[in-house]
Amino acid sequence: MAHAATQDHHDDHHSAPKGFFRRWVMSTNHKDIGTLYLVFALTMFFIGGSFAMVIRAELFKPGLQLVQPYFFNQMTTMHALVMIFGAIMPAFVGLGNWMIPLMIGAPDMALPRMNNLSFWILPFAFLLMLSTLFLPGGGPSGGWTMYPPLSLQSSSLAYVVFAIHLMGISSIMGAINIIATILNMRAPGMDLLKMPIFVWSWLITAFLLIAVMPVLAGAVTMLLTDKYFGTNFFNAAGGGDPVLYQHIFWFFGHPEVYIMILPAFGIISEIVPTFARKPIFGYKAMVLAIAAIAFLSFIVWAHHMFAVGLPMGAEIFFMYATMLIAVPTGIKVFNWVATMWGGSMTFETPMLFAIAFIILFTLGGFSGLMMALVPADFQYHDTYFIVAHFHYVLVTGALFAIIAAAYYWLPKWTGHMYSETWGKIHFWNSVVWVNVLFFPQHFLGLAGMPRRIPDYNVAFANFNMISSIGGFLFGASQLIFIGVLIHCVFFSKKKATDRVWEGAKGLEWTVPSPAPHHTFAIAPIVRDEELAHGHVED
Amino acid sequence: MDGSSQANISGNRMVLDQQALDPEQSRRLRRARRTAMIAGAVAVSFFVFSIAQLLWVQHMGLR
Amino acid sequence: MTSGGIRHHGIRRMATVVATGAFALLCGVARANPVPWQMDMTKGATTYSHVPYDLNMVSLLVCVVIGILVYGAMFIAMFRFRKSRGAVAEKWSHNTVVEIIWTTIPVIILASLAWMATNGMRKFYDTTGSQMTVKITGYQWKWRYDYVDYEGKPISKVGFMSKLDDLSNETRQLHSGLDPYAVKTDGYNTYLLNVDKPLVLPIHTKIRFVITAGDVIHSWFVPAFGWKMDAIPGVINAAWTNIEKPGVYRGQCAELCGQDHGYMPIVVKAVSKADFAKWLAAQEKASAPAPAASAAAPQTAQVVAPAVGSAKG
Repeated sequence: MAHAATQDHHDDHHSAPKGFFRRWVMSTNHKDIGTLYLVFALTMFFIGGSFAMVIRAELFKPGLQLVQPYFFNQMTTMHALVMIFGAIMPAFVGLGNWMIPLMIGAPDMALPRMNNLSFWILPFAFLLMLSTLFLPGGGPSGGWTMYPPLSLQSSSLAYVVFAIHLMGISSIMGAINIIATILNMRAPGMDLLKMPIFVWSWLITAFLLIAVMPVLAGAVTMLLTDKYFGTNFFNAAGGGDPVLYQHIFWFFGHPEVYIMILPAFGIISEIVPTFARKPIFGYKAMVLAIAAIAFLSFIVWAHHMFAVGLPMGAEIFFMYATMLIAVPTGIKVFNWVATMWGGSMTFETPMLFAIAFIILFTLGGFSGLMMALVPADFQYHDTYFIVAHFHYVLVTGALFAIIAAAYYWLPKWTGHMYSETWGKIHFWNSVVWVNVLFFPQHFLGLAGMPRRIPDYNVAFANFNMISSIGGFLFGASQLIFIGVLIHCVFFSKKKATDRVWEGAKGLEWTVPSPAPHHTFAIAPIVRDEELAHGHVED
Repeated sequence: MDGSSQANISGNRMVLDQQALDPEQSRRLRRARRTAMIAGAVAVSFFVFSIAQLLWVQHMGLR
Repeated sequence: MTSGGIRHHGIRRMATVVATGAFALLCGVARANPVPWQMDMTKGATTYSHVPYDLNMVSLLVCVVIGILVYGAMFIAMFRFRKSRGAVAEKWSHNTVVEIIWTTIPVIILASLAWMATNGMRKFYDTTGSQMTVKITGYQWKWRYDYVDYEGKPISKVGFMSKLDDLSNETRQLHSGLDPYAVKTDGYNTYLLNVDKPLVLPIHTKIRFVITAGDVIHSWFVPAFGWKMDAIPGVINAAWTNIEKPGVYRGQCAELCGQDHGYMPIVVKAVSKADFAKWLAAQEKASAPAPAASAAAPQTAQVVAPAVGSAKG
């Protein structure tokens, strides 16, 4: 697409602001802000990962060896908060920031200064939250779900609530920006049903975000007033109800888990067709499936609360609704497999991570289906079976998709190829050790080991030790990732072509590599055959 | 936050200026701002609603 | 540090344990308590506990079959349609027939699983016809058991606190220097799974539990009973059990409840109706709501219930 390339080439480089402060702190450029989000997410990933290492080290063998139970609880709580709000969500926002304008032919996000604000709130929110670990009384220790009354016993509640408010504002502004961008900034000819599935997944995710982040804000605000201003929303003695908090929290919480997986679906739906050299199977079905999953996410929240003693009618409703999710999710998995079928596949690192995603996310989906069955969930609930389940969907699901996306678009971002050899070493180490880490946790859960305990009976010792070894090695494997990134950004000699991947389609591959500071200042002419989904009939 | 000064904050440093965009792009930007306002209003109303609803539930003694 | 260490104990036990585990697995013998290398859910020991076990097994089987089909198709695709084998990409991107098929078949499978699960729930939610009521209250970090009525007669003032046994409690401290593998009761390791006073219950009796909490949310979980139920302040939840075999059944609090969440185990000692009647009479006679905390707690279930010596785990 020569027209786009020549358009953009003249404003390369000399338009990026000089000076570190101006370039990064005052940035209104979607690519620079995207980079900031991604670097931030990577930093948080390692901070949250270090908490996980503390957890796995303490659980290496029975008996307490390293930390007190109270500190252990702070670690489990902080690990979750940092990974969810600091690593996975900002990573997806960063990918969205970088790629959405490039994919729809927009010059930038619709609201660039708000974009800057959305990002720069985050470091302060996390400084505030992480600082609680150094306060007398320590950080939050009541679990990331912050169930009252336990969370009301924490002396750091106010810090955490304020930090969550900041993260929520950041996420909501980010979501508003994405909605405004996608709905208004598409280049002429980029119809909604020609958009890449990644863009579709983010559009739907953004709607989930503006619907549920305010509900979380409301819930934690009520925690705050319960603790400091004498209200009794959740205080049984004052006429409130602790279970009410759980309903509100999970009304946020379940859409939240889809906020963390829908963009991953989008990424996989971009990568698989590229390396299979064949259009995605059932484009419209894929988009509809994402929309259906998003809708269902609003009516399944109580499956996190099967053991709180809900009436039977309610449990049956939530069980059926939860099981329904298996249908659109199944369609997505089948369609990915059908995309591969009859293709001409190569297995570069992004494709390897995408395939691992499909296999291992599906495994997490299987355990999810088992947990939807209420009587079985009475056994699984709050055991390591749950821990195994959500780590399969979040680590081998969301995280693997993010890593796949990083490898996939890194040449476009940096203009250099990463080291394929080291990428593959990173992949094989990750995929082996993540299974050593999480698979045995299914067995622990089935044997009845509760989650969030710092110590356990010797019957659980063997699988915990295996899990810990897997954990340390999985953590170490991610250092390879850092090495690959640093090499690619600063040292790689191998120039990337504009197209980068033989089978790549879509507007983002029509601009030069590295993508110039400004792209599509004049809207590109969109030609259907250039798009991945330019002429869909299904 | 008036529409006309999009990206002017950085003056000449930025090529991506309202003036640099073609009229079609700047029209889109104005429309995007309206979409954002609506989305923001939805978010705020969800926040207010979640608390108001519980206040009501508690006031009525329903829980 | 634990002097013996994992390896020493681990390997010595591995053989016997794997053998017993495999034996239990093959013969379908109910396991009352977790055993090393245990990989599946317990079948439990009550009239209800087969429900989650069966559902677990059926849904696992369904998942394995679907998994073999999906992963199998994927691996065949990855083998056959490689560029390096000269595969040329085809152009098609939809096929209405297969899409309808792989939407309908899951719906049918899900409907049958839902039917099974719904039947199980009907059983669980039927708390009628109970012959005994026990009130369970969760506190940070111990359980209180109050016997409310038995066979139609109210029980007065039989109730006690049940907390982690002293030996486990000493061993669990950071840098205690004690070996968790040395905490045993009746030849079975009970580290963190033993209490000073167990809940004594009769077998072949439909027992209704009313479950609540005094401070924060806890969850009462004995795997051998096949369910857990949250204990929530201000809320009274109900559940029931009908134990089929005498024995000692162990569980733990399953809802994060603060720093000692991992240290509030549950021990249920199920005895014959006759033995239970004797034990209850002795308790009523003593009439102390919370008998003096026994110093000899470590070993013992027996200390609390001297009248009942026969039951074994």
